[in-house]
Amino acid sequence: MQQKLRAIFFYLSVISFFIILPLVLLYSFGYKLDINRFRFIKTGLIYVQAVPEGAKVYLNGRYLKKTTPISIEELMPGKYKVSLELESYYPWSQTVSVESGKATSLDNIIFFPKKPHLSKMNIVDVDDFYMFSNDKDYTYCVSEGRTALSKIRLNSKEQEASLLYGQLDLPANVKDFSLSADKRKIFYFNNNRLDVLYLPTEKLNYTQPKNSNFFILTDDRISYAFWYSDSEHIIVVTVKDIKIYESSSQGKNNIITVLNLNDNHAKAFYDSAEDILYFTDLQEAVDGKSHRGLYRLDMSNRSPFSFMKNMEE
Amino acid sequence: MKQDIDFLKRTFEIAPAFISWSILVIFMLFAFLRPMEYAFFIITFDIFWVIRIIYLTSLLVIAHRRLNKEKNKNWLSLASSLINYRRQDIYQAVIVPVYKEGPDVLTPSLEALKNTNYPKHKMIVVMAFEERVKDSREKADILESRYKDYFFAFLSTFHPDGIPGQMRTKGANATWAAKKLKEFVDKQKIKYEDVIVSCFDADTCVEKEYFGCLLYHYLSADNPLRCSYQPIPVYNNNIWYAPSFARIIEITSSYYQLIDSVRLEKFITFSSHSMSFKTLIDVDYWPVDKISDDSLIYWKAYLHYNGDYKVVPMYITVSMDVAYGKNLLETLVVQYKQKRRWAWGIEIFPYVMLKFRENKAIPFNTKLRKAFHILDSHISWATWGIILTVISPLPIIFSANLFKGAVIGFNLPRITGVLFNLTNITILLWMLLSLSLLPPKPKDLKLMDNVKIFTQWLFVPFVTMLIGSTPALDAQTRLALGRYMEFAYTEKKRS
Repeated sequence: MQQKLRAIFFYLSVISFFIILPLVLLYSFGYKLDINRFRFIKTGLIYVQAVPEGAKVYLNGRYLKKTTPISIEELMPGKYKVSLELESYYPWSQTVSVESGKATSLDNIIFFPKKPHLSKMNIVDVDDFYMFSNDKDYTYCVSEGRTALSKIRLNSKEQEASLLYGQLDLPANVKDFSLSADKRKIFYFNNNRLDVLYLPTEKLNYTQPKNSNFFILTDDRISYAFWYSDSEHIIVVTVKDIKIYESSSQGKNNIITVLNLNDNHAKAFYDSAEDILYFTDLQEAVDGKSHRGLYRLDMSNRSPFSFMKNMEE
Repeated sequence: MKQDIDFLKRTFEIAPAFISWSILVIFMLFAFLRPMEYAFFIITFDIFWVIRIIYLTSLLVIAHRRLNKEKNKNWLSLASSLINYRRQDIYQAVIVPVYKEGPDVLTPSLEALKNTNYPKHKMIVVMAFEERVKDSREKADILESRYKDYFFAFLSTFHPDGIPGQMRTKGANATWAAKKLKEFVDKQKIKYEDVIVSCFDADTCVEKEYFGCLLYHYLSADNPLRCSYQPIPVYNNNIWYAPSFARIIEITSSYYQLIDSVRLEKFITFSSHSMSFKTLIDVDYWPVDKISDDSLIYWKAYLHYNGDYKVVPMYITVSMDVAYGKNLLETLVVQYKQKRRWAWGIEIFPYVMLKFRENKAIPFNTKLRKAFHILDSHISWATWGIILTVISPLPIIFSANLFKGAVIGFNLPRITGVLFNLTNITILLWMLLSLSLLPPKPKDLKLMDNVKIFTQWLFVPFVTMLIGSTPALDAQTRLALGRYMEFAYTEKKRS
């Protein structure tokens, strides 16, 4: 009896193998039986993946009763219009080509909501706002006729703002704001004046720290200014030179002119993580012509910043 | 002539590893060089595997039902009811080869023998010690003083070290003990065919009805001298205290034995087994220079009787120890080494092939089938785990680059996923079946241990890979390189 049962199971297994194997193989490689012509045709497929998932899928206008992600299989070679619909989102559609034995992948689809997730963040009117890569939790807002500076917490369920300064007189043409790495100071500049503000250390402390704020006046127009990583020095790029100011001396002492520049329209980028300044400058070559070069100025403590390297003409 | 045999022997030693490695390398090469052909092979392999596992599970269910049905039979009364005049004359001789095992391991085994319902005046126990182990004499004295009065005879033998032509193996010790038993049987003027000899591992605990069951099968066999009698080994002695993955490996080992008990043409002796003493003498005892003495004794008898020899499955369990260590890593090492020793069973392949060459009485087709069975079981053992858990998922990870937008690139992960899940369903069935094989839970088992017992099955893929295929591949490679293994003692732990 035991051996009879075993024989039955054995032969059933062998038969199953030879029936299932060709069917699965044909399906896997995209073959479809054309019943009318009684032959196998190599088909293609369209794979659709969208964010968010669960969109209704239409092929050439016909609803497939399936949702994304989906692979629409056994498609004869040709062009197909794929349309996706997801409630509360803008619909999506595209016409794609299907080749035999190939998979057409549509996997970069993003649905955008019809009703944007909009929320008001400010309490008082905002004239201008600044966001800093070193303080992603807050935005710094200039308001009330450019006299007040406050910061607003981002990604907060309730509006949460704190007034940093209430009696400023910010010029209209401020070129840039910058927050120091220690998040305790902000500077802004325009033309040849750079103002440094010490931020109140406590959230609700509206009083200004006395004798802290100061400004720097330069001989030439300021193009760029950056905080050094120690938050105590400011690198100022003017149309004529590159200078370093010390904030502990309120920018009055220990001013170093690192380089003189020939380029009135120099471009600069400061890598604050590495304390490296990249900038352009004009230099006269032996042929008497001026050539603009890209320079790298390493100002990190790790290396003396006395050398320059011409990286690229 | 000798050179020819040596060359052939090496060829047969290299063949299993060569085939296993070729399968793995070809699969790997195809995966990256010819992905389309690879997809074809892997789907074929996966379907073959799923159907095979379902087939094997159906055999497991058959064997399991039989085991449950025959569990509570009163075998001794059934044997008594057989119309066979010899039933009163049969002696049961038990040889227990001992290496470093102490009384803590040996006492439960001897207690189990004592507690069997077979007439004790018909039982001979031979404790086979190794002379080279220091405290063998002391252990023998302790056990003799405790048990000599319970049995017809309680012999202690001491296998001398360094007999020419012998290796330090369990088989050499058992053979020495069997020869001493022969001297005793001769002295007692007992006929060899009236003695059934069982060779048990030191930790083997038999059930109360074991010898009744053995007697029944011996007396009811068409030709009892042309059979070995194989119980179902389970590892229940310390199973509740072993780490989960060691437990699952041993349950799986028991399952393979159960499955093979239905595939009679593949069923050979493994671990603890029994046979007629006359047959043992006729085939010149267990091999003394091979580790796999348990399976080789079958092949010796099979060849000696020109193929007229079989193994009769007995649906009664003998319980042994799960091998495990002090911590997880040690358990892993212990298990790995034990499984490698089992997989070293491939050493029978060159032995059997050379003997087949000499033997002209066994038909060529039968030889071919038998050779295929040996290779099939060992090569599947060494390869399928690696193919399933390592090679199969490889191109799925790299499918975007390998299949370059082909339909198969999208379908392959899904199809292999479905097939893999089908395998998991069978694992669920194995899990349920395992519950009836396990002994009652000890009372001191905590709730967490109960949770572990079920979650242990999550280790299957890991176990499959690590302890499944690699020890077998390791053993085959060693044989191919001529790095012959020596018997390694597996320490027994009881708590």
